[in-house]
Amino acid sequence: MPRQQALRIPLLAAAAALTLVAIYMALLFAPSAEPALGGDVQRIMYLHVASAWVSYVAFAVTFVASISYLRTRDLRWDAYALSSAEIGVLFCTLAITTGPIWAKATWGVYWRWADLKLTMTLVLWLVFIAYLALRANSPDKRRGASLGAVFSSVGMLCVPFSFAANIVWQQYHPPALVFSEGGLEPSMGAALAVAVIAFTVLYVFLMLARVGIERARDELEDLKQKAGDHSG
Amino acid sequence: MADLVFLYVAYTIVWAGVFLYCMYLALRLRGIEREISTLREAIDVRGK
Repeated sequence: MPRQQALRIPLLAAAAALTLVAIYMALLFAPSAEPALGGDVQRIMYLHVASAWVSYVAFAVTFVASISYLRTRDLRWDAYALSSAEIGVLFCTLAITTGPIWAKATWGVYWRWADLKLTMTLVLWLVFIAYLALRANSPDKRRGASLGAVFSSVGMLCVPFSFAANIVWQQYHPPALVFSEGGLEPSMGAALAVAVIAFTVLYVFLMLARVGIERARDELEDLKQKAGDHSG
Repeated sequence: MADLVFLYVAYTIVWAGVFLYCMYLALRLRGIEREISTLREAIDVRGK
C-alpha cells in the first residue's frame, strides 16, 4: 500500500479526536465572552478563525505547488495545487459563512463592504472559485495547469491583505486579539490553538484523500489509453 | 436564546460542510476505482 494511503486512517483518527477535543474546548471549556463582545455567540470565533487559517494555508500551498509545476512541468505538483485549492475554497466558504453569522449576532448586520478584510476575503474566495471553474473546463490538462498557476498567483496577492487588514487598518472586523496587548484569556487561547491544530490535521487528511483521487484519475486515463491501444 | 441559535447554525454549517465534502471525496474515489477495475478486467479479457 503506498505510503500516502497507509497514512489516511491514522490521520483521520487524529483529525476526528482533535476535532472532538476542539468542540469540547470551544463550547464547554472556554468561558463565555463579555456580553459586549457577544457572550456565547463569540464561541463561533474558534471555528471561524480556524477555517480562515486553513484557507490561507491551502491557498499558499496551491501557489507554491503551481510555481513548482511551472518550473518542473511535473503534473504531480499540479495535483497538489488543484487539491489544495479545492480544500481552500471549502474552508474559505466556511469562514465567510460563519463570520457573517457572528457579525449579525454582534453588530446587527451580516456584512460591511467598507471593511477591507471582509472584501478582500470575498475577492480571494471568488478568485479561487474561478480557478476551480477554469480547471474543470480545461480540455487540456497541462494548459489548465499553466493557466491555473496564473490564477493562483493573483489569488495569493489577496491573502496578505485578507490576513493583515484588521491588524494594520482596524475597521469593523474584530482585532486579532492574539497579536494584541493583553491578548486572549489563556483558556480561550488554548481552545483557539486546539481548533487551529485540529483543522490543520483535517486539512492534511483531506489533501491526502484529494490527491489520491487525482492519482486514481491519472491511472484511469493511462488504462483508457492502454485499452485504446489494445483495440486499435 | 436567540444568540444560541446563531451559535448552533454556525456549528451545524461547518460540520455538515466538512462531512459532506468527505462523503463527496469518498463517492468520487469509489466511482473512479470501479471504472479502473472494470477497465482492467476488459483489458485482461482482450489480452487472453
